[in-house]
This record gives sequence, C-alpha cells and structure tokens, in this order.
Amino acid sequence: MIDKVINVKDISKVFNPFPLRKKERGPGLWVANLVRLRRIKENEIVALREVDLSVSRGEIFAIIGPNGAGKTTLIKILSGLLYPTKGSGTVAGLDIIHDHEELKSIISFVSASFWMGLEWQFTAYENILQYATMLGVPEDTAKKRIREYGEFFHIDYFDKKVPALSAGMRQIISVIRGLVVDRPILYLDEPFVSLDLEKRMALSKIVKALASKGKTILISSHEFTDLDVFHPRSLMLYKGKTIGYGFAEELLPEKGIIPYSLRLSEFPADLESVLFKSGVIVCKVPKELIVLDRVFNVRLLLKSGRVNDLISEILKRKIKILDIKKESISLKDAYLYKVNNEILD
Amino acid sequence: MKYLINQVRSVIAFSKREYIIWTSYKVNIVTWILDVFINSTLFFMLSLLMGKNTNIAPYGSNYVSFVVLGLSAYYISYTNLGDPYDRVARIYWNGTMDLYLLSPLSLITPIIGIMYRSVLDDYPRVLLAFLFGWLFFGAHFTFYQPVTIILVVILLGISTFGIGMISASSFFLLNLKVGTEPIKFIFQDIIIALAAGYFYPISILPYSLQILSLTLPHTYALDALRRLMVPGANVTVPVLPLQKVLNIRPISLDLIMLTVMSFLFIYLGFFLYIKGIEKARRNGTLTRWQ
Repeated sequence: MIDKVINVKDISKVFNPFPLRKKERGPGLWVANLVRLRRIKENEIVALREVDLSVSRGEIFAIIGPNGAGKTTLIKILSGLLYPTKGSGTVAGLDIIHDHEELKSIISFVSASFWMGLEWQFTAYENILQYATMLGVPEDTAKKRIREYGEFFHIDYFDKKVPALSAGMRQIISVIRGLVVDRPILYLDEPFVSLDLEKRMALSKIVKALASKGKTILISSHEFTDLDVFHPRSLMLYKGKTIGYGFAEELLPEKGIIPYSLRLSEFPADLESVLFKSGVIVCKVPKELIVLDRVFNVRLLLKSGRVNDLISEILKRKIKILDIKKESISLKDAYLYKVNNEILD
Repeated sequence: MKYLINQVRSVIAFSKREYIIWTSYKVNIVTWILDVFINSTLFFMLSLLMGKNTNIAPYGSNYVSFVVLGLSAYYISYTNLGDPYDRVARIYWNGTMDLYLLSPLSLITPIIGIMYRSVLDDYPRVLLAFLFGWLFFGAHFTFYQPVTIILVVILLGISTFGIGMISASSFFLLNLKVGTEPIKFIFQDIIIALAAGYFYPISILPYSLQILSLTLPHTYALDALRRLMVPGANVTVPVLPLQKVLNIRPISLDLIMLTVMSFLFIYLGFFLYIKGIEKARRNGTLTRWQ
C-alpha cells in the first residue's frame, strides 16, 4: 500500500492585502486601516484555485510554474504558515489548519528568501548553529551535521560573517540550515536560486540521498532543468491553477510525442510554423534554440512517426543536419507545451 | 517541563545573540552611556530646581528620591510597553517570522528573547538613576519591605509588558506596519505621560486625570514604591481616589490592583497577539516577503 504523506484537496488561497499608502502615517493610517478591516474585493489576489495534491513517503515531488504561480503559497499552506481560504489537507496525518503546532515538528522548510533571516553580525557557522538549537537539535548533533554538510558542499567560509558572503553563499548556508534540522519532510522552495553548477549538482545528490532514506521532499522551482534529474511527479501551476499533474510524460495531453534535439546549419524563422501547420511538431515555439559557433541547436516536440517528414522538410531547404537525437520528455517540454498550446492559445 | 526548559534555553540563546549584536556596535555603547548620564543629570537638575517648593506628602519629603522612583518606573515601563511592538516589527522586517513560527518556540518566546537587548539598553538606567541620585543629588531610600518592593516591581513589569503585547498585536491585527502605533502612543505618550505621576504626586492633577490614572499600573506601583522607599513616607494615608473610597490599606490595594492588571493585560496582550498571528496566517501578511 502506498503511504501518502501529503494530501490536499481543493485548496484555494485568496489574499486580501491592505494597500499601504505612503502618505498615511500615524492617526491617518489608524483610521484608514480600521475602515479597511472589512474585505475589499478589488484588492483580492487569488493565489491558488482548487489545487489537489498527494505525495507519497520517500517521494521527490516537484511544484513547478512561473513567478507568481502560487508555488510558495502552496508550500506555506502545507507548512501551516498560511491558512487556505478554502479546502483542506493533511501532512503526515496532521490537519494543515488545526494541527499547525504539531506540524512544525516534522517539517523542515528552506526558502530562497530565508537568507534574509540570517543574522548579519554572525558568522555562517553561528547562524546555522543558532537556528538548529532553536529548533531543538542538540548542540553536539548540530555541530556534527554542520561539519558533514560543510565538507559535502566544500564550504570554506563558515567563519565569515554574512555581509562578506555572496548571494549564492548565503543561499547554500540557508539550505544547510534547513538540512541540519533533519526532519522527515523537507520543503525546498526555489533551493537552486543563485547556486553555481557544482552546488546545484551537490544539492541534487543530497536530495536524492535523503529521499532514498525515506524522507519526503517537496521541491519548487521555475528552473525545470534542475528538477529533471529527479524525474519527479509534479504539480504544474499557472496563475494559481493546476495545469498539469503527474510525471513529465503524463503531462502531455496526447501520447506519441517525442522530443528531438537537432544541430542545424541554420534555422529559418518560418520553418517552425510550416512544421506546426503540417502537424510534424506539436508545439508552436522552439523548445530551445541556442546558436553556438553558427550552429543552431534546436529541441522540437515531434509527433510519433514524423521524423522522416521533419528531415525531408529541412533538407528541402538545403539546411545541413549536423546531428539528430531522440530525447526523453522533460518537465520543460511539458510545461512549454501546456503554456503555449493550452493557456496562451 | 521539557517544553518550558526549551523555551528558557531559547530565551538564553536569543539573549546571547542580542548581547553579541549589541556589543558589535562599540560606538553605540559609548553614546548610550553618555545618553544615560546626560538624561539623568538633566532630570535631576530639573528636580532640584522644582523640588524645594514641591509638597509631596505623604510620600516623605525627599523630592529627589521621589523622582528617582518615578524615573525608574518610567524606564521599566518604556521598555516593557514600547519594546514588544518594536521587536515584532524587527522580526517582520528582517524576514525571520517564518523561521520562528516553524520552530517549536511559543509565539512569545522570540519577543522575550530579543527584548534582552532592551534589558541591556534600558534596565541599567534604573541602577544609574539610583546611583546618580544617591551620589550627587542627596537621594536616600528605605528598604523595609524588600519582598513587597520586589513584588511591586515584578507586577509593574508584567502589567506593562501586557500592555506592550496589546500594542504589538496591532502590528498584525490592524496591519500597522509603518508610522506610529496607536496603543503605545495613547498609553505611553498621552495617558502615562500625563497621569502616571513620574515627577509629581497625582493628587495635584485635576480630578478627571486622577480618575484616568487609576487605569494605569504605574499609579499603583509608584504609590507603593514611594510609600515603601522614600524616607518618612506614610503608609496609611490614602492618596489615590480608589484608596479614599475603599477601606483597605493603601499598599494592599496597590498590590491587589497591580495583580488584577497584570493578569488582565497579560491575558489580553497574549490573546490579541495570537489573534493577530492567526489573522496574518489567513491574510498572508506574516512576513514581509510572502
């Protein structure tokens, strides 16, 4: 039997922010805010609309979507930091609204914005240790874990104070701060932001290792390439709505779509629309078009059995095909297909 | 029990952090000492000027002692009443509210822990006020009932902290994140400044302000402290309107009122603050960066 750790149903979140007007201070602001205590419809921001989600124990699950899609809002709801406006859910059997006090003892949350919570007068090491002890990790255990993660991520700046750290360094310190706590459920909200390639790969390795030990990991990002290494099930959000749910290959609406990467001597602007109109490719925009040393690297989503049509169309235009390779469907393929063919159409 | 120990450990950890932060601003320490010295001297100069003609009976006859106690209550009140809002604001603007709420700490623990900064910053002023008053300006004090004195100080601390928490709750309840906060402004800057009787006995105030002063813990704390600590003070003559109406010993009445206010304000403060956090969880205004 599959052990579902996270289960949410019909989650919606509507924010009703107070507009802060710069001119209002003191008594003017008190009166204005008292008047605004009632809900004002026009201020409302719908961050999530009827989202369903279920994640199994030991699973790496991805929440993907562009900026403002509702990824962070969803994770905060699953952490008990925000209450949903509508809907219900449980995390490890605990109700996300009523049991938020118990919930916080089983989750660890790393956010891209948490580096702002680092104490600037402290060293990187002191920051992690302070947080770990605050969360009840015994000091000796915390020190051991900090040393281990420091070695793993090749951190040689533990003794530096926060202002001396770059954005990427602060981010990895925030990540280690979340990992040191060692809880059964780990939420990673945009963890790859500002990280260099080496740190991204190291973080991916850690995430896989933790999942293999049975930890449930929810990871959000708008950088899909970082997530493909996990081949995760995912929830695809767009303006708060679910536009896809499942593995990358399940997210495409029809079967028999195969991504191909090609290296071409040129890529005329009209080629793509011709291929799309004739039904060879299923997406209107090139998946990736990178020009490097006058070579056009293109990734296209083809309908099954139409490779020969693609090749003949290219050759007809006297374009050299330097390489053609069949690929597996990535999250990015699925996302771009959804957004360009279903949402923006 | 384990939960309580963890809260205390966290308060100590926060305090250590605040100490490190505080001492990292070395120039600030020098300016702070200068500030305490100049402010205290200024108050004592004024008290010396006015003191000779001031009738402070039944609180003895030493006006400097009378003012030292007023200043001490002012410092304690200033920290406990004004600090919770400022600390909540700091947690909010620094983006650490999420981190604290995800920790096993109670909602109040981080605020108390971070207030250690104020303990460093403001409470030594009380000791300095006593020291300056005694060394340079002829203040004398009696300590006949030390337990009652300590109890009054603790109750004053708790009740003003309660008002401080009511003030802090407005940060989320009324979404007052910029400008002046109304509860602190109304209590600290208007009612307390006018009617607390830091520098004069409240019996010289118009009757309406005397009645207003009955809503303040300061009134009862100062009445008790002055009766107990100013040499020659009378412990039986009623001064406050309530003492004149009720047939209870003035100091006993002061203690009863301080106890009632401590429970009332602390309960209200925590209740409203928790409601404020709940509201922020619903509205999504817990952190600056949502």
